[in-house]
Amino acid sequence: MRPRAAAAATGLAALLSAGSSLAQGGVPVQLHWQAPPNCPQEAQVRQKLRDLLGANADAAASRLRAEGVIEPSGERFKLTLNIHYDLVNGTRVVQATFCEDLGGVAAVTLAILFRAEHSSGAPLTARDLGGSTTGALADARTAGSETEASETASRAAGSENTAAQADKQSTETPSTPKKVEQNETASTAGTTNGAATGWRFVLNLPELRTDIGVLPDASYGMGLGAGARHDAWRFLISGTFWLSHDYQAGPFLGYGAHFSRVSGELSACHGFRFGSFELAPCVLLTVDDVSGRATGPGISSTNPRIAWLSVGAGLQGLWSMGRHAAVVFGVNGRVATSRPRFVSDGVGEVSQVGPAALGVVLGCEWQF
Amino acid sequence: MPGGVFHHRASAMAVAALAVACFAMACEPTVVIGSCAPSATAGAGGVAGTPASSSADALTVPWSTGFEDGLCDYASQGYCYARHGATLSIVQSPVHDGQFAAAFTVNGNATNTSEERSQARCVRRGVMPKSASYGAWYLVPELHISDANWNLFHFLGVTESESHALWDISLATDSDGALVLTVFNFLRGTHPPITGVPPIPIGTWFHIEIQLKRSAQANGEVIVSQDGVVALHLTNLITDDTDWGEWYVGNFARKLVPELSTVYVDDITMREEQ
Repeated sequence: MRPRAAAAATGLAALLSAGSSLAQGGVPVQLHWQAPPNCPQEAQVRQKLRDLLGANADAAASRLRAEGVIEPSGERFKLTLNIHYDLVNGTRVVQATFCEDLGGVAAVTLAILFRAEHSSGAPLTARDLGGSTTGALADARTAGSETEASETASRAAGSENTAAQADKQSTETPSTPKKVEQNETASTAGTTNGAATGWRFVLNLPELRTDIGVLPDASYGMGLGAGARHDAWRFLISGTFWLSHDYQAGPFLGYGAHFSRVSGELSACHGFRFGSFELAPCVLLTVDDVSGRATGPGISSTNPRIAWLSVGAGLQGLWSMGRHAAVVFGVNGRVATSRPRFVSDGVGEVSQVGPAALGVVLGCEWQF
Repeated sequence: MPGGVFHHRASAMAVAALAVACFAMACEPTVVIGSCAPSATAGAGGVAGTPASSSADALTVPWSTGFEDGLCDYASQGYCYARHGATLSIVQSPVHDGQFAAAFTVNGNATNTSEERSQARCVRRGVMPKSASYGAWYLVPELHISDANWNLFHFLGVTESESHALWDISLATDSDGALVLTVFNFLRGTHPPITGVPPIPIGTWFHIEIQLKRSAQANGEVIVSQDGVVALHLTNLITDDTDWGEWYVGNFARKLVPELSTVYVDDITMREEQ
């Protein structure tokens, strides 16, 4: 539990300090650097990262943080780069003959992750932060091309397309599947960089909902939602068709009402990632539209309808099933700004909308 | 302050203000989702089931209901209610006449306090005629043991400051275990004797009628009859010291064995007498 608590605390600190990360040497990635005097220092790494990011260094914030440490390792030098993305952590270890190369490696690594973060809109995973790139660079080292990464970094600083060139050069070395994977990531980041606004279209379909507190008994409905994601934010507008509802009016046997209902909801959620799971507090604005028809001997009805507004909050959990799909489960509570009373001749009040409603939603989210 | 932030906050404040305003004003709009046919609701009155404020209107007479329009005949100048485990339903069998009757079911659990007493009734309310007959057909499907407060008719007088009971017609268990009518005069606190009529039949419709000449000056008159046979005739007494009243028909029980009882009621009438 202690490491988890520490990770949570670290993540929280990162969230709180995210707003100031842009001010760190002009790069959006928070970086702490420690290296022997003859190796690249923090300012140089920052400058290299800034060169690689170009205009994006000022245009977008990042949830990435990193601590880099260069240490002598026999006759070589070892870079340990601990990378954090909210509560997701990864470590990359790179060895090189010359420590000058390792500053570039760190800058390229962070630049690629920054672009991946903003090109897809989907959250980075532990695999993105650590495993594959470490392996790829280790392979490069084995192949005797330890300086390749820094050369790549130098080229990447020149133009947006140098990432692709770097890919080409990298693939000329004896490649492994992991290396190919890294190259694909770099390529994607380079080609989508121009439109790296972080906005993604989101479709929630289907949404299965249930709630209590609106109509006299629990309601069940199906709906869909559409909206957009931007960084950790998600904005959705959704609609739900609820199963019609027959209600027995208390002690008056044979008397009751038939309710039909549709609802619309605006929601804004902010996600916090824990690996492939995202927890998102939300604020909600809901409009319920209910039509009622009293039933019973001698009763006729024009099936009048009424709509009212509710405000509320909720908590959603999203379990990512890859970069484009997630399973969504949420609970929410809403307070009605109006509590219509449904009455009928003969039996009086049939039902009244409750002061608060509790809802549950289960659905699939598709991101494009 | 950036304009976007200002608008965001302003919007949030507007929504919050709307919510608070609605709560403060108790936003509870009434949506009428069912109405009785106009013929059944002719005249003034409140919504049945929700006792309305007192109406100064004289009750419309003659008046009758066979529950052919459900409870709609009570939608004007009256209401129906069922509480504390009681139910009220419109049934197609048994019926005395027409297609429907009303079933009033209560739980005569003696442990209930007077405030919790199970009861299901329909009520006509307003200024009662000076002299009128009030009648209804009842069917009691099974024999119960009653403590004499198994009430079928109840008259309540209402003044501006208070209300008090006037007359009850109830069922009591006699020495043979049969159910007989009993009348209670609340103004005197007495049970005047019922004579000349048999116990009520079980499983067969029987008719109860009370002719009430209202008077606060000791010149009133009360005639109670069962199936057209006079069971009680009282004269020269105070019968009603109020101008506004309520007439309850249905089922109310303080203590019954067995506890659960249903009575069926049909063809309730109210007509003015000269």
